Amino acid sequence: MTEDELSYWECYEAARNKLIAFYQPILDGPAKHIARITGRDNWEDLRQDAVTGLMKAIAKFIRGRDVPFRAFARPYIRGAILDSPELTHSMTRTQQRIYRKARRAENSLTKSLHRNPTIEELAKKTRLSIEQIRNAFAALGIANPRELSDEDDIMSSNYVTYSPSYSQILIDEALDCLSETEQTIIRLHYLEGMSHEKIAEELEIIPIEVTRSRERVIGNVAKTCHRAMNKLRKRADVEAKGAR
Amino acid sequence: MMNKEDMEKKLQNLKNIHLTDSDLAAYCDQVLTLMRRARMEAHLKQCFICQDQLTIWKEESAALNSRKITAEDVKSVERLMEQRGLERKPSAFKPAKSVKKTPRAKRLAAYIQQLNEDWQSFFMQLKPVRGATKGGVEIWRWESKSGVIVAYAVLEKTADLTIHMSSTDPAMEGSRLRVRAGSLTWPITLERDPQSEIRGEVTIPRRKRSKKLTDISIEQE
Repeated sequence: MTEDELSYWECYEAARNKLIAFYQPILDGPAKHIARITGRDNWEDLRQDAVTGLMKAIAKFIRGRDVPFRAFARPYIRGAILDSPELTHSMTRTQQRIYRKARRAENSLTKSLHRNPTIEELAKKTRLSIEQIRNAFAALGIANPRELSDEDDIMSSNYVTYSPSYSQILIDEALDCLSETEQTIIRLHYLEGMSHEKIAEELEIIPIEVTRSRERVIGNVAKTCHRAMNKLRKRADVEAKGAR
Repeated sequence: MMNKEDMEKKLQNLKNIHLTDSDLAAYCDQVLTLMRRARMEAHLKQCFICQDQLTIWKEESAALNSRKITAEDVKSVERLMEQRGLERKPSAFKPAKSVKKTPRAKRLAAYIQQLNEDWQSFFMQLKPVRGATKGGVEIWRWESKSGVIVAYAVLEKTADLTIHMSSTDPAMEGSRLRVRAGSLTWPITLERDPQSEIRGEVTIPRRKRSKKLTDISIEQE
């Protein structure tokens, strides 16, 4: 190694160590939660594994994209802790089974109730304790790190094309482009459950105008999302052909 | 194809969608559009999972916002790295071509300073150099204490002045210098010759230099 090369590596390692030192607070939470659900007394051993996940995230992270670093790093940190030699496979498999059971029940109840279930409803359906359910979600979050492999991060074209969460991003962007009145109608109707008559009263317009605006918005947002999805699919196809 | 019915279903489901880590980060950092914030708040009212996650995120945000790392924090990370065998101490690496750790430019600057001081003190006490000589005559020589750099000046038959420099340090190969005589400069680059010695030379024409030679100096580029 030449002297210049050595000095570049030393600068990189010094900067990396400072970033790791800075982000220590985001390691404690996952380590403590996973230690709790796996019945470990000493969560600090798991923290060391969390550092490995943090290092991986730092090495892979690209600034300037729309993903904040903490959000990007979380799956790596959790994944590294779950891969820890301190945790036996049976412990993590059991906890992941509990997590998957709770998640499946949560999905199914949301569909049937048309709202998110309460923790009591979940506990009744899964026959797990409230504490077990709470701990599982606190430790593993919403997206199980196992559901995303190392390569499948949100910015990869495959994930972008097929993941339902990307259509949510498009819907969010389309809703941001609506006028103030249209946004108010969407918010009051879909998020606060208000009827057209109440919304009309609120906005001092006639109910038929609320209905028309809502229908127009639905059509426009659907068109915008459809066009955006087509563009992404074409791009993904081109990239896939290029890769071959 | 996303049609109106599909979109209606998606909008009906809008407040049931769990918050992603990006959503939670944006919520904590308060970098949200009105609609996105409204969607998240509607969801948080009814979802214990996301409420718990938000609590964790808020605690971490508070810790990071006031975080100032100390030298001790960095040292403990370095210790952790050593324990995991991920980082070697600097002494484990030796640069292939140069023994000293000081960057080449810094070392060269130190040599150049010593060289110029010697040149100045030598030529200040001498009478001015005039006219041509019978053959090339070495009129000045300097060698660094470590013997790494040698420089000497030869007064040619034509009264031109040739300054020679050589180095035993392979890291000096490619070093670019300038010889200055008053307001004029001439480049000199230390290169490997066919005998594998690292050397360079520059000739200052007689009419371009003063007789005193004290206005001549060497600089780094």
